[in-house]
This record gives sequence, structure tokens and C-alpha cells, in this order.
Amino acid sequence: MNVLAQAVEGSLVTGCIYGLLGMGFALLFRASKVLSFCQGGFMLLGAFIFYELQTSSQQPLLVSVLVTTLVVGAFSGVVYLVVFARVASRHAFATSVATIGLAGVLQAAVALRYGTAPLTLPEVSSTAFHVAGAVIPMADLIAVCLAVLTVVALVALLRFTPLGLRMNAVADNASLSEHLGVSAARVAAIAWALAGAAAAIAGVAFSLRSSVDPVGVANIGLFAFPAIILGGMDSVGGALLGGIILGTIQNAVQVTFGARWIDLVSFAIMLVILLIRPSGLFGKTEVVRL
Amino acid sequence: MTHSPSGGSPVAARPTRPQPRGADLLDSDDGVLPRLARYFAKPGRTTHAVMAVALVAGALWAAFGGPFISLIGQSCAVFAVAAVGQSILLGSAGQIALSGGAFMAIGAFTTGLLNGTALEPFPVPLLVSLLVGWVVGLIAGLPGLRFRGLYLLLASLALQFMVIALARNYQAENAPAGVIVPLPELGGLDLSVGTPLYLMLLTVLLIVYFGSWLVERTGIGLAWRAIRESEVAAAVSGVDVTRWKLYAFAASGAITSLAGSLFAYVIGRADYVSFDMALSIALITMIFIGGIRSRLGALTGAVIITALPYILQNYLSPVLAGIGLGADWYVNNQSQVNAGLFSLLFLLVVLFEPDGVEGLLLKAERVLRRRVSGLTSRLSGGTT
Repeated sequence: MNVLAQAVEGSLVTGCIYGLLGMGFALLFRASKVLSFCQGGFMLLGAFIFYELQTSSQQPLLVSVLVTTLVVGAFSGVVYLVVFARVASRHAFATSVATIGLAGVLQAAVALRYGTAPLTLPEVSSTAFHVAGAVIPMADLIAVCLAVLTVVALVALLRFTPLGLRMNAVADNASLSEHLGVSAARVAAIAWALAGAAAAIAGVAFSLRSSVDPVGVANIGLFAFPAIILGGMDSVGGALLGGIILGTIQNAVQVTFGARWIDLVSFAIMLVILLIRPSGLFGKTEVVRL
Repeated sequence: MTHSPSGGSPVAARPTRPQPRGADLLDSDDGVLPRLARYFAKPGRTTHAVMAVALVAGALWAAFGGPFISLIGQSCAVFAVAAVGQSILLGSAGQIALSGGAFMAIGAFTTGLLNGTALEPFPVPLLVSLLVGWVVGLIAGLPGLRFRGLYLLLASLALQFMVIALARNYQAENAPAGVIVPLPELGGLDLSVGTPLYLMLLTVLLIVYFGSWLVERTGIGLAWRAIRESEVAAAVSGVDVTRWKLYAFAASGAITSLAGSLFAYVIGRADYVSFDMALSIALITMIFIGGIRSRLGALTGAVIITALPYILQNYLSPVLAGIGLGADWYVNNQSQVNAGLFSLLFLLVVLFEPDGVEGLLLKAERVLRRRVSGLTSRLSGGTT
């Protein structure tokens, strides 16, 4: 087994999970200028619904993934409409702050229902592939495939469908697109649903390869922030690349210094990027300066 | 807000100098009652009087109400200091930052690390924490100079995680159970438990409260409020935005760090687990729930959020037993339920009632005032 190849494999898989979350952030940010702190909460919800479907109701994998995605996506959209929509259109920043509260509520709800001890899914398949000296378990392959499929679907949606056109229009200039007959509120609700779905898929991908506990998974949602800052807050593709870069850095830190320096390095990188290039690698420069 | 500060050093000279607050009260030669009536005739003063009386009553109750109430009072006092620190940044200068937990950790660990050095004797670590908090606050303010809003929030989030990661790594290597903090003792008087501890905390709270009140009465407070309302307008009016914003971060960091030091003294040790994101969120919730616009609101919020778990612990069990969850359900799941409850409160307050309890009271006062004035005008024959 080749250590380097294995590290690369690990980085790719972690990066894909960050990327999936990050795309949700970017979608939301483009649609409503709201930076959601509760992507981790939706990921948590996805992970545990998936866990429930896989263990107690013994559904096939594909059904579980689809049901999880749909349920969490719908939930996210409904939460937006019921709780946030009225305020979000006027105060994007207050809404961003309020999503911190939503993340706490979701985390507490899951912790009350399932306890705080880590839960492990039964292994999907013991098949593993050997590529260039790295061992790739089936679960990792599924996780990466899910991420890639989601990215392709979202990018295609933004590029080729009328809905994508509307979303881009709102992202570009919300008030102008309102005048041209695009309902920014509806676009925002759809963006919330899509972001929730992406987070749910991230939760599924995560639970396939590691044990899940409420605090750990919700923290992944916060750890995706360095990834989106790297990629740029309003770039959907940049989020995935940012995720993979962050995953690589984290793996490198883990190998060289040890796992407990990961947080420190990740957030130090985020702070440095915020200071020297707040728009990230691919984002639009749009920072309030004096 | 209708504060009219009496000094104006950092702000460009204003053409007219408004009357200092309360001048109407001092200058008149009438009796006490008319003066009081005139004082309370101003909107908002009744609300603030109600809040102040409630807080003082609560503080006295905690001083004489037995050990359990005293214990609640101790936590309330510590978090009230932290809330005052956070309200300087959030309420006065209008910068939202999620790093309150990190600053409390800085104060607590400073206190713990001074154990065994020449600076160990009791009030000294408090002052050192204040100083360290000031310096880190200045540094933490640097990202705030480049941007505000979302980016600042993210920068403070990064600070929170970095400080906690450092504390965790330090603890893992040197003190797995947390850094021990010596018992506070002043001139042979043991301040580590019970009423002496409570009175010590209360004294610090009063000093901090009136200190920040004095500072905010001056032009510094005016500069902060100007920055809060509009940075551009403040800069145009001659406020040195960079400088006063940095000082807001530093002052807030210093006082929050002081609160962390007090917290460590109350608990007896500094443990990174106490200072996680949830604490930062709880601190911000205190400010929002009490009323973001005033220090009195921050105190009220701190007391509400700190005392709520104790109240729930005492009164919720019968209710829960009634709905079939089991009387021990709350006690067993306390940390999760509290975290969820505070998050929910935070969400609702931020979205729907950003002025918190103070805002609600002010609304009630306005309604009451309208009723009363309607009544008096009807009584006097409807001529006015």
C-alpha cells in the first residue's frame, strides 16, 4: 500500500464532501445573499435519516439515498418559506445570523433522538479496488460518485435550464430580475431546497465511510467554511475545488503534524484568505470596504 | 437612541451642544414628585426603570436567598460581565462577532497559566486577563477594519476555532483535566465560595458596568454609535472609524476575557470544553434577547439565559411527567435541550424581535402611555 496514493485518495473523498456542502452555500449565497450556517445541520439530518433507512427499515441503497435527498431538500425549502422568507428578502445579514440558531436546533433535535454516541452503518460492500497503490473501498467510490453526479446535475441545471437562467439572473441582479418577472422569493426557496439536498447527499457520503455523531457531523458544516472561502462564496464550481484543496491540506497536516492541528491550520488558512483575498479564488469581488 | 453625550472629543465639533441627560431633573427647584413625574415623562425611562429594579431585586435575592439561589447569582454575574463585554461590540459599535467563547477561554487560560507565578495573587490575574483580552481584541479587530457583516462574522468564527484548538492542544499535552485555577483570596478573606464569591463577582460586575457606562457617555460612545449607524456617514462627520472600531474590539475583548477569568475562578479550572461555539452563540443570544440597544438589556439577557436552565430544572419535571416523557427527561438531556432551546430563542429573537425583552417592554410602555394620555384627556373634558 502506497502512503502517498492513499493520502491522495483520502483527500479527494474528504474534499468531495466539503465540496458538496460548499456548493449548497454558494447556491444559497447567490440566490439570497444569505450565508447559511445550517448546512451542517441539514447534512446531519441527511446522515441520520439515511442511517435510519439503512438500518431499521433495510431499504436498498439507492432508495435510501433518493428518499434522504428528497426529504431533506423539501424540509430545507419549507423551513425557508415558513421561517426565513419574510425576513430574508429585507435583511440578508440578520437571516445569515439566524441560521446559526437553526443549526443549533437541528443538532439538538438529532442529539435528543439518537444520543451523542457515534453510530456506525453496516458496511455497504466489502469490495475494494486497488488503483496505483491505493486501496479504494466501495464506500469511498460511492461517495465520490454521488458528489460528482450532484455537481454535474447542479452545474447542468444552472447552465442549461430556464430555472438555472433565473437563478443566475437573481444572483447577478436581484431587483432587476424582479422587474423582469422573475420571482426572487421562489428562486430563493428552490435554492434552499437544492442546498438542503446537496447537504443531505454530503451527509450520506460521510456516513458511508465514517461513524456519525451529532456534534462531529454538524462541525463538518462549519469546517466547510474554509473551503468556500477558498473557492469564493458565490462560485458553485469553485466550492468543489476549494473543498478538494482543503481536503488535501488537511490530509497533509494530519500526516505531518498530527490530527489535532487540523482545525487550527484550516481556520488559519481561512483567516489569511479573508485578509488577503476575501473573494476567494473564483469569486466575484464584492466586499464592503470603507 | 436618545442618549445625548456630554463630551465629544473624537467627533467633530457640533454646532449646538445638547443638554446633558437628566439636566431637566437637576436644574428644577420643584418638589420630588413633579421632578420624578417629569423624569418618567420621557419615553423609555419607565422601561429602563422597570428593568433596573428587576435586576437589582434579583441581585439582592441572590445575595440573601440561600445557597442555591446564590449559585445561580454567581453564574448570572459572570455572564453579565461577558454580556457587557459583548454588548460594547455588538450593541454599541454594531459589529457582530462570534468569538465571545474564545475570549472567555483566553481569560480563563490566562488565569490558569498564571498559577504558580509571581502574578498569582487574586486580583492580579483579573487585570492580566483584561490586558491580554485587550491585545487579542485589537488583533481580532484587524479583519474588522477591512470588512464588516458576513466576512467579519467568518473571521470571528475562525478566531473562535483557532483559540479553542490551541487550548485543546495545550490541554492534551499538559493538563488533560483542565488547567487548575487557585482559590481566590483577598487579604486573608476566602472568596472561593458562597456569599463572599458572589459579592466579589457583583463588585466586578458593577465596576465593569459603570466603567463602560462612563466611557459610553463620552464622545467614544458617540463615535461607536455613529459607526454602528453608518460607517460612511461617521467617517464623513470626522469620526476616525479605524481607530474607534479597533478600540471597540479591544474593549469588548478585554471585558469578555475578564469574564472568562471570573468563570475560571468560579469553576476552579479552565477547560476548553466550556468555551465552545455554543457559548459564543449563548453570549450573542443574551444580547439579542435582552435588547441589543442598551447595556441594561445585555444584563437582562444574561440573567434570563443563565437562570433559565435552573428554572427549567426545577419546574419542568412535573410538566414533562404530565406529557409522558418521564420526570428525569430534562435532567438527563439537559445540555442538548438547553442548546436547542437557546438556539431556537436566538433564531426567533434575531428574526422577529431584534430588540428583545427591552423592545417588548418599550412597546408595552408606548401602549400604556397612549392609554393613560387618552384617559387624562377624557378626564379633563377632552380639551387637550
